[in-house]
Amino acid sequence: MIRRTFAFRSVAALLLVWVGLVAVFAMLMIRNNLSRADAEVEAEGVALHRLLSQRVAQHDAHLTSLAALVQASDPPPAETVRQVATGIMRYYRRILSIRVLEMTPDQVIETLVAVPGEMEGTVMPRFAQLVFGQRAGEARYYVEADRPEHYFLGKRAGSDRRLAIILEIDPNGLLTPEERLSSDRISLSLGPFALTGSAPAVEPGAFATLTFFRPADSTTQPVNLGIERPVSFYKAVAPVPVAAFALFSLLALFAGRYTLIQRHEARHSQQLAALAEERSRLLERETQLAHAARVNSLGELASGIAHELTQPLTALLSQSQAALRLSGPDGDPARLSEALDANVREARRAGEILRRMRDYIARRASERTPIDITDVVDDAATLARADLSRRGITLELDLERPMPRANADPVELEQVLHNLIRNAADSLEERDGPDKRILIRTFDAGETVAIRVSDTGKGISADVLPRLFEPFFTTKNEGMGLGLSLCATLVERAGGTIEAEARPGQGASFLISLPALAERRLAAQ
Amino acid sequence: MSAPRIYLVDDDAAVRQALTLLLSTYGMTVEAFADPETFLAHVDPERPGCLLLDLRMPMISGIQLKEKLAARGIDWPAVMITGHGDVNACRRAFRAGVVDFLTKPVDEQVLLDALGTAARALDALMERREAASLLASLTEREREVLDMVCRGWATKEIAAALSVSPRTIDAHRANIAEKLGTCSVADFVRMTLNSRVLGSSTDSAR
Repeated sequence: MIRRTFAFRSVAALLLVWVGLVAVFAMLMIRNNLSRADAEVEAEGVALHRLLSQRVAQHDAHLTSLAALVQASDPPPAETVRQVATGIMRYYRRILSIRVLEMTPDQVIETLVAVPGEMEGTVMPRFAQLVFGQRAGEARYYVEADRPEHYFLGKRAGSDRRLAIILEIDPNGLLTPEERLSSDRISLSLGPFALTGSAPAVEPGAFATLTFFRPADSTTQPVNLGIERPVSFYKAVAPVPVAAFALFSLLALFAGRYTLIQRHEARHSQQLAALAEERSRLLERETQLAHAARVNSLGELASGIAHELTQPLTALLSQSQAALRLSGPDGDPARLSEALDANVREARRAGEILRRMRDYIARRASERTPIDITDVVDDAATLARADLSRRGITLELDLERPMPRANADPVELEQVLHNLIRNAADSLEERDGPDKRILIRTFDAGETVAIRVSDTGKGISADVLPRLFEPFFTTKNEGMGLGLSLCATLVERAGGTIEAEARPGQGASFLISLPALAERRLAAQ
Repeated sequence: MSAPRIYLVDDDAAVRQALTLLLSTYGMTVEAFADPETFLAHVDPERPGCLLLDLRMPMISGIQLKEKLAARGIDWPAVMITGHGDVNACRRAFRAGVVDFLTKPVDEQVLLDALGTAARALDALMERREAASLLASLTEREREVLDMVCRGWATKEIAAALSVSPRTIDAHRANIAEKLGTCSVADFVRMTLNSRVLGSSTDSAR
């Protein structure tokens, strides 16, 4: 059926579509959110990178100024240097210590200045030797494996004396906590050494991790800035808009479905309306047909009455006029009374016709009662016989008795028989010849009781046969074509059937079958 | 005009009886038959009469009856009475030789008028018949002479036209007068015209 095929009729299909839509939307949201977050991380990274680069450059500047200071006099002004270094460290907390070392001609490294003071006695860093190996003025970073959280920046200074300045830097101070976003993991590394933030790269709960990595713009300390931003599923998916979308789309889908169903039902109801209209048109036509049948049978009845009454009236009129003349002065009393007798006879005949007609037309609701169809055939035959013999037609009866009873309206059945007999008589009258017979036979056909009305007329031609019971179909010049149609209606009303039997060259034959009542089986037992 | 013989064909015994009785009170001789077949079996061309026909199927039976009668040289006038509605249809289908169509029940006077008309028609028919048969007894020469007499020619003129002596023409005229039973020129003319009317009416009926 058409109405089953359209989408969204089933809520399951609707929900499937909805889930799909929401999934696509969520995917788009994630992509969008991630790329936005990525841009954020990138922006943050660039900002931090700029800060980092500036700060590490500051170390170079300090080294340069300290180098200038230590070379300002010979011997280096240790006290001034200390003061300057102390000042630097006060402002730059990430610088943990500043040392100025000298390598004596006998290859011994001595500490000229060490800030803070407690550093003086401490162990000389292992890389100090290396600093002196640097070119004059060159600065280089060092990381001690056992203290990876710090790094050192050593600069070779002095021309006559061999001097070295070493800064110890806390990388955690390179970026202040305020500068870091709390959600981001920021790590700094220098070459292979991780200076800060050695947390695992991927946090287990994270939906995705956005990264930023760039070494600081510095030749001396290319501190790598790494940023990792774990993005939770919640953040990536942005549940509020997704939920809003889900809700909205669900509503929209249901609204769409509702609209479609409405439209569909409107169409459906239109179809129903059209169907109902069609049905009412058919009903109307049926009513018209029934009316036509009624009018026709009334007309037939009227013309039948007129025809039947014409004969006795003609006789009565002529005979009365004859009687008037016979009752005159030179009348003949014997012939007069003969005429009057005949008049009485004719008047009675007319009365009889009228009585028969009254019985026939006594219209009433179909009253089905158990009847013996043989009796009905008998009655119909009795009524028809006089007319038939007048027309030179013999009526033969072959009645089976006893006969199981059938549930039917005797008057209606008699009407059917009357119609069939009249048709047969009309057909017989059209042909010449001595053998004009109508045979009515009743017989028990098991489940049904049957009446066969056959004649010796010209029969029914094969082309007429299929249309025989059609209303308004007729082969008679003046017929309306409703007689057999009415017969069929009446017989079918009683639950029976009527059919014409094709017997080419043998005259017409009609078979009426009515369901036999079950009582006969009881009676038989 | 003597009371004509009436041949009544009606399938209803009561109607037959009543009409027979009524018409007999007017001194008419009525011979009644139940159907066309019986009538045809008994009809005698030598006993002419008016037909009073009540046919159940007027068109078909009427035309058939008319054809069968014509086959026997009978074209007596007929009055149709019918209980069937469409008289006009009957009239159209069965016009020739039918003087009137009446519907049942038929009133005495109407019936008598129609039968009177039929009787007159029958008389005229018989007269024409007679004239025709008398004329038929003439020889070719006599007919020629009669023709000229009817045109008003004198004996001398006829003799001149036929290149015979006037005496011969006189002999022909005497023979003609004997055969036709009259010596009046007016009678000659009437008989000749009648016979022509008969001929032409027979032609048109065919």
